[in-house]
Amino acid sequence: MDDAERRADFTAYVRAREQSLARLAYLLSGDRDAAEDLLQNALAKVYRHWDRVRGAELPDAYVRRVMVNENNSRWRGLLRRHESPSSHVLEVLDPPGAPGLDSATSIDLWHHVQSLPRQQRAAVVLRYYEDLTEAQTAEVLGCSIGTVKSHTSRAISALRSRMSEATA
Amino acid sequence: MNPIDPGLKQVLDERGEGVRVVADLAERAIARDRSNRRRELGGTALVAGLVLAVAVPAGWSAVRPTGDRPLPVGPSASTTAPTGRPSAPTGSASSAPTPTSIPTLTADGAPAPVMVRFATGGPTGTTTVPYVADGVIYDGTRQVALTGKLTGGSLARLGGGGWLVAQGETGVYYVVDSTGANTVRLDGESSTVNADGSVFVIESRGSLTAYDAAGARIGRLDATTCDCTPDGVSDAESPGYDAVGIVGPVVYASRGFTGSSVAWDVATGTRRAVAGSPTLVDAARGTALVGVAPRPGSKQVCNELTDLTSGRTIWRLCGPLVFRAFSTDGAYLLATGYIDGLDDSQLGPDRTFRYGGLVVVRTSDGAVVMEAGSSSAPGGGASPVSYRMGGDGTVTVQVGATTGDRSLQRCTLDGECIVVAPGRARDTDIPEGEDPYFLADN
Repeated sequence: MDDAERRADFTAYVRAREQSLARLAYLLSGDRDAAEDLLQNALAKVYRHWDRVRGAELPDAYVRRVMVNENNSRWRGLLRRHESPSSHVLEVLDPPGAPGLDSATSIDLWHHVQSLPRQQRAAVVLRYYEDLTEAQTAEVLGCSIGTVKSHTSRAISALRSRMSEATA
Repeated sequence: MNPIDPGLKQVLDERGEGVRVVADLAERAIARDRSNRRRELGGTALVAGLVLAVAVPAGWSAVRPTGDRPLPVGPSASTTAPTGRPSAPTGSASSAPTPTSIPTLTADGAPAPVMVRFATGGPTGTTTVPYVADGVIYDGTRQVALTGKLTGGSLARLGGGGWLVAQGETGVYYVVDSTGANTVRLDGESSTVNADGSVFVIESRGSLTAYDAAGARIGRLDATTCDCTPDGVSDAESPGYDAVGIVGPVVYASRGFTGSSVAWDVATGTRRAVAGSPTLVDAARGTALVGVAPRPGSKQVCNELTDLTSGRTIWRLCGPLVFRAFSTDGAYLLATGYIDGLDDSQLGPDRTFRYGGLVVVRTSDGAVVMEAGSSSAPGGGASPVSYRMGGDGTVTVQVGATTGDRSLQRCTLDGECIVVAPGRARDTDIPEGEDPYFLADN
């Protein structure tokens, strides 16, 4: 595969998956600027390894793992590249409101999700948004199924506790 | 499912629904990869152990953060400037003899004795360092317009008045004569030129091909002769040879992940093994900077200045610096403190970089003598992007303004700067945009 083919192949993959990946980046990172940086850094790494990624049975799993690792990187914030007003990659619209949840509850719950430790938040996003199984989540997080259970359980407990405090 | 579960899923769904991609994400990712590669090429001072960490890209481990080697934040990065620095004892380096009697210095982040004060306004002087911008080579007061579609990407002076010019990131090099006309096209991934421009090598897929100043081929060192992989690593993973400097006709090249190097005399075709893995070579004084593998459990990066002839280590400097170039006369080393992937132990207490984007180290004693781009430096957020130091004791710096524009400035070692080329915008308004000025490599 020459460079042009490689580039075209990668571009086709990104175009097919970009909305899904962008949403994952936003949910993992919690704000637009961070999500833009996370998404571009992760995809740049994926592009670097594209010859291997495209041959993988589940390229999405690989890409998710890159994104989670990138998001967990403790020094990433130091090196974030900031977009100019005209160079943004993502647009984030206010949500219309989840059915069955009042607006204030929805906002509170989102804020509490954002305040979770990164690994717990990643576990919650992968389990509840991406609908991954515990085994798949463990694969993406690079940990055991037991650790996924632990992360998820602690996250849910923390969310429940914080939501209870908010409504008390 | 817990009572909170349905609500949690709904909230994540609704938040995700509001996210839209509004740019060509694939193009932007490819541009960022290019930008990251530029960082890697710009920061060759990498310790062997860390290079080895990416030598075995077995599956996902290759892209885990812990598997990434530190990279300097390169020319096109719009990096968040460090916002603080650790309180540290005075003095830029402390000396502590080791059992091997190698003078060992620690770059501990203490403020340099001189902080660069970048200038503002229009050009008020010139630089002796040639550069190319927007298709024109500036060499002192002389200007050479490049023909064809060449706009620049890298620049080196060749003997006989010619130049070696790369076009952007296309992996194509042109030998350009003194009138600016292209005479020879060469394909390759990186170039290295000796001090007087009489010999240069182009690296392509781990093989080195040497040329004379006119672009005539002198010899080739094929990747198949490298024997570059340690036991247990596939040859297919080997990067082959990587030229790090040329002294006269002798090309110094690292041998993949082996931690060793070769000195290849292109005039005679002979090769000899060189201990260690130099990352920068100084032709003027016959010295080299060699990365030192960290001790087990240590995250500290160390570099040694060694004498190329005797192999003697002149000093060892440990600290969060990535060295990028010697000055033309070998009297100084230029480094950056903006390093991607530093361990927390190598950051300041507030998790900012200990050093700015430009650090000048004196080679005679390893002392940090000047710094630019740190949070405590004056200059209103201006940051050094790329730099070269001639033999005249001044550093020519491409300076990034907070507006994103880049200017060229010449700074003396007492920290005073003058503008030598005006502010220019980068090619595109994205963080990975190409910088407008390319300073000559030699």
